[in-house]
Amino acid sequence: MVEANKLGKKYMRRWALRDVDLVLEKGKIYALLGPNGSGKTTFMKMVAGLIKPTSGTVTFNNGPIGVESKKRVAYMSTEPFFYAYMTIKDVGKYFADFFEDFSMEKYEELISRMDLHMEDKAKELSSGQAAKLKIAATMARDAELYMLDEPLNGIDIIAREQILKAIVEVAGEDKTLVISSHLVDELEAIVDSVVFLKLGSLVLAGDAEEVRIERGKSIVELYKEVYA
Amino acid sequence: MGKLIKYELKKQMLSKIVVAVLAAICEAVFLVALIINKAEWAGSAFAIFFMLGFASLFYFSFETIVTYSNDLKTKQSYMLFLVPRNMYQVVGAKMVTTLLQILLVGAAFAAAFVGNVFITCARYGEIEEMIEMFKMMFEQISGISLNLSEVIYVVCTLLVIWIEFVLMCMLAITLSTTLFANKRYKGVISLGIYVVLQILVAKVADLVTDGAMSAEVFELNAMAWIYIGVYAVVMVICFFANTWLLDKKISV
Repeated sequence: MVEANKLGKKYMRRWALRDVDLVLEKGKIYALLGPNGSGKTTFMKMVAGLIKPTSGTVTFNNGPIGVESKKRVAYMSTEPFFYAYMTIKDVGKYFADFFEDFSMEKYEELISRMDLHMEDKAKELSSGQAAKLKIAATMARDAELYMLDEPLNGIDIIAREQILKAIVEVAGEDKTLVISSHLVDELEAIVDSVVFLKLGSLVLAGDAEEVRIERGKSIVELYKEVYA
Repeated sequence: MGKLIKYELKKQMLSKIVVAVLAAICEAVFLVALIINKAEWAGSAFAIFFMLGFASLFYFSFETIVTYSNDLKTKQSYMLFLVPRNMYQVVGAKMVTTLLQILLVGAAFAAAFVGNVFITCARYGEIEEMIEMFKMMFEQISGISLNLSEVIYVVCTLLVIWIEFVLMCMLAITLSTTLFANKRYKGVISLGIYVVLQILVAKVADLVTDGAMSAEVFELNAMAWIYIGVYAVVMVICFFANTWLLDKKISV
């Protein structure tokens, strides 16, 4: 589904991502792991078409990243990104206007489940509410690939459960999810595969269960070992 | 592209509403003053209305540039660049919105201005006498013979030059966020390129008009068309340059 070959991105003199070879397969949930500055966001943004690689290539369904891939890829950034004038309802209308796979019905249901209100202004939401709004807008799409950048950042434990539930609900044979997070223990239970990035390089990638057996450690323990 | 234009307009709608309300208040004061025969009030309201028109054109242009900058330099950019639209549509929508805003706001204020002049003339005297008096006064002060078609040409030329100025500003912002995104002094470099490009465009426009004048085909209308032509070409170049840079070098 996603294939990166020698993928690299350089900012100023620093490589944010360097020589990454990675294949993301259909129907799997991936945990993209690494501390700040490891290149997780850079990788996701390149697949989403928000930045261009400095070196190497990345393809989606064997095609270039562009209009067609954007129709099928749902990317959720760490930060809120909605226009200042927008209410939660406006956000839904915007997504409905631009994404054919967006379901307003599903969006309304997610918004209601997350205790948000359609008339609330997006910019006046608390960080937790804003995170829920981003999740609702992203997961209301029927995309092939969902990329969620730190979806649990700054979220209380109750809201985390709501968000994880919304994420897991969309998983299926024809859906691929890539989730980046520092909260490895919360992801460990739901992911099929793990990708460890460190200082822009790929350190380890593989099936979560195989990695556990092979290394004799949980993903949390491995995370501590790699990044300690 | 229609949907992109819709959201471009929505992003900047608040300022339009504020200006429309202020303009409506000025107009109402002006009309009431005419009815109750308070010439000073009418004059003041008319003057404020006139200034509001100019200030609005400047402000809306400035707002267009700031919005564009935010669209490229803040997380708001994701709203624009995540949608499945090609870069020609994205940049095209921004440019069409800029053109529409400046032309429509300019036309609306100009129409209201002309309407107010006619209402004043109808209220206080014969229209033709008033216009003739105004023309004579202007000609005596400026030494320039006033002709309606020439005024229209001059206004159109100024509008086109202004729109080109806004689009060139957008190109400078695009340069700083794409080609020079990784340079330490990207803002200064882009500003420098912007200044050089504007000087070049002005030089080319002057060279072309000088050529036309020396060929003894000079007329104000012809000169206006030459200016409009040169700046229109620059606008097209700005569009393609912006699109190419964002398409090939996007980094938001």
